[in-house]
Amino acid sequence: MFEFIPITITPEMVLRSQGADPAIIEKRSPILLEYAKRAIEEGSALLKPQVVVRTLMVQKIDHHKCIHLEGGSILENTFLAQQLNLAQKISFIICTIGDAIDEKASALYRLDPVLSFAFDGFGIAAIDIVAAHVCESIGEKANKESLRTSIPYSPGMVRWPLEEGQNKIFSILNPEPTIVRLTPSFQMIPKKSTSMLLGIGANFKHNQKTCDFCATRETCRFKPPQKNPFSFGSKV
Amino acid sequence: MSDLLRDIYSSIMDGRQKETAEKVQEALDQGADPSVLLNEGMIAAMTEVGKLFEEGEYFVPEMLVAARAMQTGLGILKPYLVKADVKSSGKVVAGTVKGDLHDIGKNLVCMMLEGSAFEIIDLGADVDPQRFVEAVHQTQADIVAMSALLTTTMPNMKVTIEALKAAGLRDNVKVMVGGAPLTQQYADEIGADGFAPDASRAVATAKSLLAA
Repeated sequence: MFEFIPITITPEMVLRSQGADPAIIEKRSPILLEYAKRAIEEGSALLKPQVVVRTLMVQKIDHHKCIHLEGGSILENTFLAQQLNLAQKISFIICTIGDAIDEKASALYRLDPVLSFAFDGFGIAAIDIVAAHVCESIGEKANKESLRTSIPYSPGMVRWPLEEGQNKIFSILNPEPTIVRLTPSFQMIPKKSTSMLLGIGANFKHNQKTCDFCATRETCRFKPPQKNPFSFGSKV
Repeated sequence: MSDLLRDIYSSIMDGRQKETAEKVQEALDQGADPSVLLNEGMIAAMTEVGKLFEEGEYFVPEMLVAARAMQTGLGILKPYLVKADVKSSGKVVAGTVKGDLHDIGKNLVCMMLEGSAFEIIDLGADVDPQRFVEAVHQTQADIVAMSALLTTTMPNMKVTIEALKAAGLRDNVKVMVGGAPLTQQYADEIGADGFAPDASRAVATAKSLLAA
């Protein structure tokens, strides 16, 4: 399903992933636009997108607290049980772009922190595109079954603790450690990775945004233009 | 403000690295006082950059490009500052706490602090509490600055503060913390002396801690 993921990144995306407004930067600090272009030119060949997905049928939802899934897995979280109470299926997803971009950004930090940060922005834009592509693909498949998808929910959102969510997603997907692994503090390696789940059901409404459930939504400078509910605002 | 001082100020504000270096050298060649160049030209520019960032006018990469110009200028100025016995604003041991591999925020803080003439000992990311202790002991640092981006690693800030206490160093050093999931309340709870919500305000926090 995800053997080829088209990743087209524009300088504007890189700048936005760095927390900047591209239109203002273009006028005020055009040199940063050049750095964004350079990160795209040099970074594109370093991207190694990989996706691990598993979709499980929902068997029942208990008292708005536990979601019982096929195979015996239980997703125990009141927030998710409320949000996904219309779900017939849930897709568990891990996406990564590999570690080469982070390695490049780290190596550049002492030499040129501005270029290092541009590479970081490029990496964030890339993982956001991969994640959005996966969500859209699952959404399209759901549409063919006359179903819709929820917004993506990621561990670390306001009412889904990081450790609880990462443990659940990783136990269900059990990804090859060569693709992605968890540190003891539940950070993913490669760092430019994202984990999430999507509810699939007949009556999901797209009136929510991922940012609505982010702990830093009040102060965040990384909000993307939310053209669709699958847009991310990663601070990877 | 002289024309050259104004040029240095604006070249840093706009992040023009090469021009900053040239103007600093030109001013020094003309016999300018290094401490005036530092305080009234360079630090003043970085203070304004920080203020504009806090107001939402400047963006992170603009702050970074200004800090890089500042660093380049400082590289030229440093020998003159040493010769004139101009002291740094203070010595800061900085790092992202144990278990946390995020380093962008910490790097920004380090660059902004350097831009305000603080001396930085950057321990990197995933820093064991004992490494903070050793660095404070070895460098006689004034401030320990800790960063965390995960709720799962935040508790290691308290562990580090406890390690400083156990080593008998806590009274010798101020501790400031920052990172996306942190709040002033959390900083107070773990016994930190200061909290900075972003890289710009880290400078103000560091200055106020040393002024206290």
